[in-house]
Amino acid sequence: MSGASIYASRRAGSLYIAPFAIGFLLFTAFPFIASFILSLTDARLQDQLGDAHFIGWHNYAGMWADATFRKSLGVTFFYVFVTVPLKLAFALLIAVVLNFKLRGIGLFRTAFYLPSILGGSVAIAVVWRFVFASDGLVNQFLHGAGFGGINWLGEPSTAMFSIILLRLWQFGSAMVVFLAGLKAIPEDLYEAADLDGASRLRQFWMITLPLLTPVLFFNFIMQIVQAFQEFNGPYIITGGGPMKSTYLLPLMIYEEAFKYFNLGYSSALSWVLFVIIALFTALAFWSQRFWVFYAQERSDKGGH
Amino acid sequence: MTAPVTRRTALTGLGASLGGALAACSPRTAPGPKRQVTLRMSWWGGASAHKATLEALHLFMQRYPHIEVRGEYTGFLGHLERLTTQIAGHTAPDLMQINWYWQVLFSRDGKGFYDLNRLSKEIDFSQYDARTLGMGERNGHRNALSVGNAARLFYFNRTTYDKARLALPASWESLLAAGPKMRDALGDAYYPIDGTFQDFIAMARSRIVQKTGKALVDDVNKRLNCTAEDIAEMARLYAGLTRDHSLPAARVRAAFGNVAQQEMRPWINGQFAGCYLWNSSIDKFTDTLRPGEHVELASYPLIPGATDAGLLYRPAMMFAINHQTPHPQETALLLNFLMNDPVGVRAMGLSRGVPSSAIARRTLTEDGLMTGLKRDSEAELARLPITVLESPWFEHPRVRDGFQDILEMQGYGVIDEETASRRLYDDINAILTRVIR
Repeated sequence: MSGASIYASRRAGSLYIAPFAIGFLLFTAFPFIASFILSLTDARLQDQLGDAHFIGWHNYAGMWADATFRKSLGVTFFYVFVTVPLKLAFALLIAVVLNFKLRGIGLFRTAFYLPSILGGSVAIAVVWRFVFASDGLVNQFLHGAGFGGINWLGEPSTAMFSIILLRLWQFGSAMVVFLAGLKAIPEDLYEAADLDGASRLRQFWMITLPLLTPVLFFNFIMQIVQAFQEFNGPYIITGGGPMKSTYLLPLMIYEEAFKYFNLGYSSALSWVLFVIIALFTALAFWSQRFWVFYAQERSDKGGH
Repeated sequence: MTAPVTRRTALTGLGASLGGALAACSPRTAPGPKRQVTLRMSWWGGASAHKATLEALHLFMQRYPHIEVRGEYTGFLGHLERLTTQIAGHTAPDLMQINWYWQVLFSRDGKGFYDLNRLSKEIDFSQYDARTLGMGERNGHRNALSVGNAARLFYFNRTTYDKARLALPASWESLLAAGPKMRDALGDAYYPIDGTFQDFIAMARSRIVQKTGKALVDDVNKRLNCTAEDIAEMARLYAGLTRDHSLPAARVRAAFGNVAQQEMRPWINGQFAGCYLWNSSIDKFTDTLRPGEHVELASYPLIPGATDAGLLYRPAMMFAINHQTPHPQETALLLNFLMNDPVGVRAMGLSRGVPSSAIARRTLTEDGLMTGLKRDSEAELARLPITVLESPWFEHPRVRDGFQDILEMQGYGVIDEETASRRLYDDINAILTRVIR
């Protein structure tokens, strides 16, 4: 069979995409649909699925009356609204700094990316817990510097701060994407701005930031999705406490399913989280016409 | 030889072709000529339990060459989730280590596990007392067999108490009084006893049961088995212990994050000078102590006139057989080997605490393994009045968390003692009504 006829063959094409299609159907589409069906039942993890009863929207309707859900939802929104802007700003700042032409800059880039390789894994979360414990590294440093220690994990306000900091620490991936975006901005724009006498700050606001908005948009979507799904940090560092101040929605979903065995309610919670993420993503896509600048559109509108 | 084959086959529901080989054997000793069988056994535990169990399995396979056993072992964290999905997916191991409380999860009607009564030829039940056997029975079905019984007892750091010139508390009053004295002698970082909310709830339950003489949970009427005034004792005790510096306050404990008690520095260095702990777990706690720190068992505090110590005396862990196993006899042989056969018992040692099997206890005592805190704890349990049998629903995660949420709010000053008392009665009753099925 010649190369051309292979590409023309529907059968060969289908075979090529079969691994993905099968994987998608089995491990994404099926659980996706099954979880929705489960969310309409009173299924319990330890029972046979056949024993579950169809209860319609009861799981969803009862959610708002659940004080733990309301608390968890509030905590989750707070976490997302604080971490996403902070992480994006921090990643952009570091990317701009690492875009300078300095000797040994490759070394710095590697060093700054290192935390992201380690990520928010279980091991790092455990380390984080020891760092912020009352007798941990941070407080030892504070004591050494003559300040009193802070109850990082024992107070609702500061416990959340410790969890947020763990996410900010993993700024490397967003930073690398920003760095790639910065590299793609044509040098001649800055040269022209220099000739016009624009300051560095003005160049950043008028050139860098507008041309970086597609990358910013991509990072924004990724960070929103990841932040809503945060689990490791609160699970390992605080267990969701104190007083559920770090009880993010994914942790509640996990505990409802695997601690309390409420598979139906847990599935409903998962769907609520999915809808929230979908809404935020849709909102971001809708809003991009107002703040994301694509070079292609500029060309289409007669630009160069 | 044919007749027993038929009987056994009828009992187990297996095909007649399997029977001949099995029937030829005397079940507890030598199973006779056999077909090759592969079993799976799951358990949780620490490194020492894994090592001991694997060694026991190795010896079992030497004894019964036609049976291969594959071990599936993890730490405690995540084990229930794993087992739950296995049971739901019909892929559970033949022999499972379970928690006492899990019986209400997996076998509400008693049929969720293999009825061990049907395996009385393979398993020597005469080694267990009636109370122990009863803890594994539901609706007339013998669901599981206790590996070892355990109860929470008071253990104190003798080194710290000596440093503070204090006697180990042997009454509730002396425990409450120890806080200010220890603080005055050693400083703010020292506490007579430490514990999670879960530990404290069990401790307060013990005191309430000593007063009422009844189990705290009435699972027939799905309510607390005490008055609002009785349960208010829990809020009162928590307020008293934390106010008097006898128990670290909620904020102090939370400052260490979600970390195991025995891994907290104040426990390691003796500043948290006591715990209310399962006697089966005390080794795990003494192992992490700084050299020179010495832990002792204290006399259990009893209120005057108490007819019951209020101990949560129950199986620390149990073995159950999968009700869908195709090899019930072979699995029963394994269970019996691990729990009642001197060879298996010696291999398992005290890795799962003091065994509940009489022959196992005797074997290990004769081998000189029952020493120190293990011996003292067993003696204390034998001395104390233990008649009340608590409902397993007391340990349901929703009930446990219900208690914890209210006490945590009290600890953080979000609600006062009076509100906490009222909510302990109303909220826990509501939870019990909802969860008990």
